[in-house]
Amino acid sequence: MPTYTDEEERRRQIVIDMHKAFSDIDADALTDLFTDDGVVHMVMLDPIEGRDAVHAMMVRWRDDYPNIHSELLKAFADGEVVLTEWIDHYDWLGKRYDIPIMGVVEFRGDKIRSWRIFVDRIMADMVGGQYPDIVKSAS
Amino acid sequence: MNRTVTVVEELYSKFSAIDPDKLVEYFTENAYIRPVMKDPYQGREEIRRMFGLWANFGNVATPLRNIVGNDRVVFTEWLDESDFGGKHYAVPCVGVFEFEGDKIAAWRLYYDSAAEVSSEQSGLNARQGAKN
Repeated sequence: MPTYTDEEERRRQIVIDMHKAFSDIDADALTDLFTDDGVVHMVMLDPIEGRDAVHAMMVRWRDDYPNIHSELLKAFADGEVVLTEWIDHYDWLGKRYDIPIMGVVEFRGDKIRSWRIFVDRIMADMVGGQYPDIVKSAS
Repeated sequence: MNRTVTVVEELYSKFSAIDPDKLVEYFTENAYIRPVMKDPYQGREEIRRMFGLWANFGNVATPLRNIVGNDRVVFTEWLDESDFGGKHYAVPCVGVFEFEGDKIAAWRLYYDSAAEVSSEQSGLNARQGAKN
């Protein structure tokens, strides 16, 4: 393991806990992890910016993915950045999906300033293109 | 700094002038490179072939934005810039390198394939379908 400062270990733990929380989404609690101007950016889409938009996205995830399990494989911290690799397991329209994803979480203090999510557009295609709707509902 | 991080930084420094024979030396005999959601390039011969395809891209630059790891795994984030078919591409990417000793045994790349040169143009292999 890299040797972490107390701040790095705390940020890393925040990200680990965030992934656990996706199995039973509390939109308010997850939104509170972000700064007021926090950004969630799935790289194939426009970024979701600001507290209200992030909250709307969390609500959408809660409502659309009741059986999601976000299996975090590894998380490395470096200063105010935490890099992650995980697999999202969920059901969508009768099919089971296991989607490998990487993320880059940037902190400001102990709050998340941005979260870049590297998924392939093929994922959006597979699940019926619902991700563009997330952007619409968040705007 | 971990030796693995140094090796990965060295690998990235060589992408602007790709020499498939030299690059393949960074990998174990059974290594794989897998752009996520596509088929993997498995083994040194396939990896050499893949780097040969990459060599067809012009003005390649791969500036690292983040790199962190331990003695077995390294995570990277970079911007993949290149010219192909008269167009300039700049694709944000992240990757995971897994090591066996001083050699890379696996490299998984994550990015939005819609932002890259199409497989038909580049010769890079096709996407895999959804898992049923």
